[in-house]
Amino acid sequence: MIRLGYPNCVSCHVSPQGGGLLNLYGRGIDQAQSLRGGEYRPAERLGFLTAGNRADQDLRAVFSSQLTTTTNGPLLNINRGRFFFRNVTMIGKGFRVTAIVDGETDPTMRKAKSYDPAVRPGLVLLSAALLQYRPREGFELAVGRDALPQGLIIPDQTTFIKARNRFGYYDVPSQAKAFLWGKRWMFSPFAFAPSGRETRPARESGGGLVAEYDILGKGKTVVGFNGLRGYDRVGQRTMTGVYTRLGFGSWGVLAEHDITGRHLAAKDLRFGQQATYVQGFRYFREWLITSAIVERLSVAKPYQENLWAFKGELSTRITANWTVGIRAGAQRDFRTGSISPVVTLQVAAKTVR
Amino acid sequence: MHLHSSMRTPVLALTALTAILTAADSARPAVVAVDSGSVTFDVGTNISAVSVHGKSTGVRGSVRAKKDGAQLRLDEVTVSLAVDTLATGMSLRDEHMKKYIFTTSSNQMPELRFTGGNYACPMDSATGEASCSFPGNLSIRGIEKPLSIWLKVKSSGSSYRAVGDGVVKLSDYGIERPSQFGVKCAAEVKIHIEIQGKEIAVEFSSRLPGGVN
Repeated sequence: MIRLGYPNCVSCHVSPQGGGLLNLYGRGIDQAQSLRGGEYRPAERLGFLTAGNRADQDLRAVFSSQLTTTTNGPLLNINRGRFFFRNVTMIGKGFRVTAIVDGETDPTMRKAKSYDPAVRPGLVLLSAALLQYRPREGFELAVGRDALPQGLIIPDQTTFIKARNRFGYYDVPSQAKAFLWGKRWMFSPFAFAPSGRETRPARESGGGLVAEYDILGKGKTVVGFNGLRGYDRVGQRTMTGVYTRLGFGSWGVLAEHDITGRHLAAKDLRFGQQATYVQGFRYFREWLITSAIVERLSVAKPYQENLWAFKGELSTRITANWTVGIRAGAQRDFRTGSISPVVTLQVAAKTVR
Repeated sequence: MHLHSSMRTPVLALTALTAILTAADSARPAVVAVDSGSVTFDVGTNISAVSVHGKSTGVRGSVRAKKDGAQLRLDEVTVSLAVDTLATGMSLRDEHMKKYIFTTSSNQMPELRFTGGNYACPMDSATGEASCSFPGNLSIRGIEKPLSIWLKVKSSGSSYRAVGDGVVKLSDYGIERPSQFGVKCAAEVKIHIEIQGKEIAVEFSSRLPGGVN
């Protein structure tokens, strides 16, 4: 949305953090940006489902079929379905509760590292259970379980900046966070603690901050900072990152660079990690977007890694209910020389009130 | 070259006439036709994070300009813009903009037109830049209302570059603030104009799209 001059998520999403259900205005934009286009007209007479317009909810499904291989390896086909029930209920005086329940046919596991233990996926997951309080426009408090505030909001959770910094599907710690925003800025401090569903070594506590500013004031030149410090049984990590969202007409750029310092307590070992994400995109039509993405991950000794990923994406929003996308690319390990090409076809559907 | 004595008189007369005409022409303001330019607008809403920006590069127009000592005199200023050329990046929003802002009760969509005349802007002789609050009239929906634009004009030889900023009040034109799902536009719209132009021969001025004669 940065190309249209929306500097942050709060204009279209119920939650100022972004993601999750769209508000009424956001649903209008969602439909306007589809191939079908036209005016969005909210359904009426849904009293039971909407609790007299106090509740909003939808069902969302994402089906993906992935073909991948590695150098000299077999061709793998993974078909995956992921389902979401999302509900927001206003309980009055600025309070509301949000719940998101995810279900999936096949987990998307990231590789376990000795410094970053594997997550516990589970076929059904309560990924958000939040009590939120917005006493006035420009200020919100939230307490509960959710994804942490982060820099770029990218749907692909396998990107290095997400998967290697515990911003994946299953990383939904207990947290308290605040959002303060104005026309050109947003500021979000947060503190977090284990939700209880993590594996024991990965039960992490800590705090952080996301802050961003629209430099030119047209909603199209946002730069931000995200920082986080966390402690668990393995040790501690400190992540600092900068990111930007830029829009130029039908073109745009999303970029983030994160530096993570880790300290493994048992070995008294310190090492660093850097993750970079750059995406250039172009809207050929409002409903048709292409992207070129370059990613890099480097991890210092003794867990040395040097990975690059190159991807191209084509995505089309057919209606507010249906989106189809295809992504193709390859990941190159510069230490081993192995190349892992991957092609993914994705179909997403959601109910719209 | 030696001229025959019978030809000498008419040649001298022609030379003198040319000199007189040139002197007279240099005293007249030059007609500057707009080569290219853009108009952008920016309007806030009741939601702090939502504002609407739009742009058009379909600017046409002309102006008579004359450098006169420490001032730049501008006259017969006409800058116009077809509403269809304005775009916000979202087609539905463009439709709403045209429908709610620019369409008259008789379902017409007249072009936007800024006109003004005979005003001297103080000019910095060192930089050649003139700046002033230029008084004019802006026509929206065919309704003309006064509008002052803070104008900066820089000239170099026969080329001119002008940048202007102004604020349009929708209520001045009897236009209701558009609203969509609780997001309501502000009453004041900031506009920014950037145009480049060149002096052209006066005899062609009657053919200018801006209508300078």
